[in-house]
Amino acid sequence: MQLTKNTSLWKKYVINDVIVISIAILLAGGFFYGWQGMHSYFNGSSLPNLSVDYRQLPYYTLRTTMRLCIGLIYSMLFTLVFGVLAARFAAMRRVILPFVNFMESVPLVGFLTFTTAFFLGLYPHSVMGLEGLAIFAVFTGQAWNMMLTLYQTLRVVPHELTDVTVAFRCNPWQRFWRLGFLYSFPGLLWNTMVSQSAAWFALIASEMLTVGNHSINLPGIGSWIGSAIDSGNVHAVLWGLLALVINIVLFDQLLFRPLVRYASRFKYEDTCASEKPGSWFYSCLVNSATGHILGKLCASFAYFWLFTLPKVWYRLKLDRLFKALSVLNWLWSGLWYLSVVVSCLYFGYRLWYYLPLQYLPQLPAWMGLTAARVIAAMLLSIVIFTPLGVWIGLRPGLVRFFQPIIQIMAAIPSNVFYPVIAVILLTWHQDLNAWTIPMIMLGTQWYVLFNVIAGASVIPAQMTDVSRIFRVGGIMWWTKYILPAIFPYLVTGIISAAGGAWNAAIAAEVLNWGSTTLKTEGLGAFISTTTDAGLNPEAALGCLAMCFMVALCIIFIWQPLYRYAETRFRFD
Amino acid sequence: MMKTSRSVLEIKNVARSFRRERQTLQVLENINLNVHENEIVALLGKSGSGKSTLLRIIAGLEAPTSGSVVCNDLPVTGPCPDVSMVFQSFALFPWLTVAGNIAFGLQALGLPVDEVKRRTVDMIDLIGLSGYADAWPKELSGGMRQRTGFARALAVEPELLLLDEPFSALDIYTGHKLRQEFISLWEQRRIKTKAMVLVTHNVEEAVMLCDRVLLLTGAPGTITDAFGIDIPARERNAENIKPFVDVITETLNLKIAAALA
Repeated sequence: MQLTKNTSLWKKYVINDVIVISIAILLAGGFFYGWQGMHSYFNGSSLPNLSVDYRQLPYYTLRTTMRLCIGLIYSMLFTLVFGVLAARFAAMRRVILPFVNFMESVPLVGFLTFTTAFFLGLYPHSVMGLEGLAIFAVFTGQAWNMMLTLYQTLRVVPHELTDVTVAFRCNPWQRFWRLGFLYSFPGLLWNTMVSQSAAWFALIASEMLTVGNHSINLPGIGSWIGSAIDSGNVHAVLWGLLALVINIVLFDQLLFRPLVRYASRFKYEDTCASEKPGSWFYSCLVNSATGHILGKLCASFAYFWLFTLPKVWYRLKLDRLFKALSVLNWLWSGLWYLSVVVSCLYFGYRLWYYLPLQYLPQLPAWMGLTAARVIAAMLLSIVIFTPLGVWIGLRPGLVRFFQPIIQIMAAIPSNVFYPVIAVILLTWHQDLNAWTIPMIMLGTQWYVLFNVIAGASVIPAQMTDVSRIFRVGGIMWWTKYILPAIFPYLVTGIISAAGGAWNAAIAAEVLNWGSTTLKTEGLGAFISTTTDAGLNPEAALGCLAMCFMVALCIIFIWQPLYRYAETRFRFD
Repeated sequence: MMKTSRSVLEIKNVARSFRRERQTLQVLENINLNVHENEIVALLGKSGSGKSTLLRIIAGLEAPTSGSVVCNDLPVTGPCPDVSMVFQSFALFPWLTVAGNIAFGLQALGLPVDEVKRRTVDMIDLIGLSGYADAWPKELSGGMRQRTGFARALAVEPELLLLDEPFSALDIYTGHKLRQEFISLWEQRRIKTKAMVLVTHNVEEAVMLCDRVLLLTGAPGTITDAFGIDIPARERNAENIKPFVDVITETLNLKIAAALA
């Protein structure tokens, strides 16, 4: 009996090992192949045209995935460095936080043009320069959100846990990796997953580049879809979409699911969740010899990371050096502030002479139009998707069913749907003006839906009990119970949606399908036409105008709203 | 204590089980209980004994797997207007002021605005919250928050009041003071509630407050012992309740030890 049980277990192990090792070999081979492609020769003006052969699509998908992964690694590095700096040093925080808050909602798609020269100079004669640009686009899509999450959770690490690490004499390095990092890991992971859609959006938009007067297609899904749209090829668009969805699902299954499953142990909560998130790949790994060997390797690496590295640091007496330096803290923060002010003034001066100021009188009207569209899109998303989110969020069964679907839907960048809308508009001879609103909504609605579902599903059970005991119903149920309860989540959702909405406005105000172009008045249209025409000063002016409005929104709407939600509506 | 024959609450053969991962977990079994008018009944047991589940079944928040619950001659199928509840962790809405929280139940009844306002103000005075009407729950101490919890539950004038460990989140002194004030309101008939069920794991609290103390022990949980406290409530003190406390504590310890063996 024991023997048969063992052999069956053994068989399971072998099967798991075969699965794990073959996936690993596939990934390694793909990585190597893609890496070669990324470093191939680039003559500075054009790349070979994209093939329209469907058999090339897996390779394009591979290249796109490489960019996504590398971008993710850089975002993580940025998150760790700047999240910790902001959490630990007030002087840094005062500059980093407004900057990141601003960058989070700034239309970065518009900015990408200006970084082209930098990246081409970094890798002359190699495709890597263009790749660098696309990777930077991925970075700008998700890094800010991730960093803010790390910073916010680092600030709310429970005091008693920090006290424990102090009592057991952990050095700051160990304190961060064993407490701060682990404590914020589940939230960080969740936000990384949510911001994948922003990364995809930026990636799709940046694979078709304009360098000088040439447009260059990097091999990838984004440029595949882009060129299919330019030639009006419906089949190619659909194939591209299919590849995109498969890619998103693979990414989710092989990277995020296992990580979420693993990270569930770091969740800080009293009650044991009855159901742990499952992942087939994770259980494969856990029940395989390869997984065990990997686990051992990771454990010894963790030991080295936590205990051996700090020893080197202390042996080099670097801690004393930094202690001595920290005596002059006032000097460092003064220098820091001074350098920030000086560089702002310098770049402001340079910009003023760079910008074509003759457009200034027209700008306010365009800004108003685009702002009106963005606001209308956000209000509509709230009105439609709040009730839907509440309906789903209060039913755990539905949440489990819808969450993966919504995740995939949210990760599909909305700009791939725009051509479909363009076709519809052309067929029924509609005006683009009002139709930009639903197009912007395609990007914003998911954030609202996501957050409302999250908010509704974490309402404390006792609050639900109170509302049921007093038999609250109708309007009172909405105004006194459910809306206040989800309000902080709704605000978070709207704020993250706002960033995407401005970006979407740039893409939505000019539509291309084959040789026809639909255009409407607005700031977004101004930015995208000038970018396409390679008019950098004009594009810069448009982007700055949009940044200005974003900043206004942050200062006068989002921050007060967020603070209000935090102080009044949080359960504690 | 004078007891009339009328029952406010009748529980017959109630059982409750949960299904979790393909196995059934029996929590409550064969529960029979009558609560009469002018009576306070305590349900005593260790954590996990199912006493809170029983309270939730009485409140209509959960349905029993089998058996029946009748409150005021009406079968309980969902939360009913004659029952109200005080929670261990207060469960106040952070977005409503003290007055707003107290008015919550009254507004849900659909009463006119003036009536809601009048009864809220009355309740604030009665429960000792004067001056705090416009305070937010966050600004209050634990004792004040639980006063608000009591005021909210009592404002709707329930026939049956359910108390889910209402004093255990407070420190001993605050809890003691609130308990005494509350019991004197009850003794002087200044609240319209006809009967109460208290869930607790504090034996002394149960004996001080209640006319009957029931032990809920075993797995699945059932009512194994009942003790009548025949000292008039206002004459109870630490001295004369000690025999009751000792007997109940000993029985409880024996039952828990037997369950572990």
